[in-house]
Amino acid sequence: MSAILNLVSILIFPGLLFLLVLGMAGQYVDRKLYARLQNRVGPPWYQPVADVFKLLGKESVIPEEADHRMFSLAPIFALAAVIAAYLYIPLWNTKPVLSFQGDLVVVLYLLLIPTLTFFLGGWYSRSIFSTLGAVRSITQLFAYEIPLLIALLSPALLASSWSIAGIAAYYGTHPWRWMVNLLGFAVGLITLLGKLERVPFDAPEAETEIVAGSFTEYSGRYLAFFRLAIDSEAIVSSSLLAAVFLPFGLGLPIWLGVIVYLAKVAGILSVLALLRTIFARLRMDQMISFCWRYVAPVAFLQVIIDLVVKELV
Amino acid sequence: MEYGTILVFLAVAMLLGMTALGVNHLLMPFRPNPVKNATYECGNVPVGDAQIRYNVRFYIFALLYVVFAVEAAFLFPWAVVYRRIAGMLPLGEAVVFLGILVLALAYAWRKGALKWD
Repeated sequence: MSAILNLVSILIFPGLLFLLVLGMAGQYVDRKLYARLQNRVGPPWYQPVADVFKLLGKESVIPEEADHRMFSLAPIFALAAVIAAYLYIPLWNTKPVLSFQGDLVVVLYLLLIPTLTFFLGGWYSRSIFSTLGAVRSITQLFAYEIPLLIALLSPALLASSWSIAGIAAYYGTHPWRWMVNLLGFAVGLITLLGKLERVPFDAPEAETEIVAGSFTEYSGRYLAFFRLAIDSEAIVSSSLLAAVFLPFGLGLPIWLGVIVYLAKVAGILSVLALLRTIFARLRMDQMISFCWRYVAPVAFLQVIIDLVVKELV
Repeated sequence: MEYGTILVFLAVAMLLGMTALGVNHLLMPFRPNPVKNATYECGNVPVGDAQIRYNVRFYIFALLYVVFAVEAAFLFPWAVVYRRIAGMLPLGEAVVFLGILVLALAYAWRKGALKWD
């Protein structure tokens, strides 16, 4: 019986199927809000699903020059890593599907895999646009990943625990301590824009310069997989930020808890859409010096604040 | 054991992906031709090698990244245990460690390693 229950929680709710549906819903929220903020009508609600089915029905062309195996493995790896990461994040209570001491680190590194697959997929496409996009992807990774790691170190330090469930449980006993980590949350939001390669950090797939960056040669089902992976990555990373920085409504009954969780994720996605609307694209070098000069020191400051709070309060 | 589960889940997720692709393979059209399979270069015939050279700055940022990623890896276990050891010693050590790294970042900034040109 419990095996069936486990299988359901992994494959349907809150695992694979829930994540994919949520990913498409998140894409819709993002696109609709972005469109409304620009005074456009925006897509209908079924647009993300229609996009995926359209792509699945198309021929996927693999260029003659490309390394066929790496080219077709990269999208699968991207989606697999994102789905595996989702199982370790507590959503509406302090208990994720799976958990152990140190899973925050594992989730961080699993969420790093999609960027690496963008790099590998682009690199093995053997096209100039893809190569440029791939190199930009990986350079951008060097810039945003350190502030993100340091920012997520601060709540772990506060809770003296590296399991996401442990951090959530700590907030249960110290409900007001989340206010200490507001700087870290801001750093998390900024680096999330870099991780998802959105405006203002979308130089790796800048459509006005390098076609689609790493995805230039991708079409059909492989492109559909990459799109699903990016949409799900947005959900998984916002859930991670919500679990670590916004610990509200953890003790509620499940239906209310799910609503609170969805509201948190929708809120984070809306902030991302808003930032996307008000900024223009930064050049690669601007993005990197911004991350190293301003975002990384702020993340360090957050760690110091946490140490002070932990020692003195 | 716990890391084993991650591997199992990665494998299961990969398998799901492959199955989806396999089923899709039966449905999708497949009509290759040399022009369609050529590398995209805005409609022109592709010229030259795609493995172009890129900016050497890439290397410096990679070095910075490795240094700080390793630093973060050292801070992970420290963050959990430092309260269990009596006295201020673990805290002081971590502050010295962090201080050296922040100093290094300031040095790199000063030397212009964070500038592109």
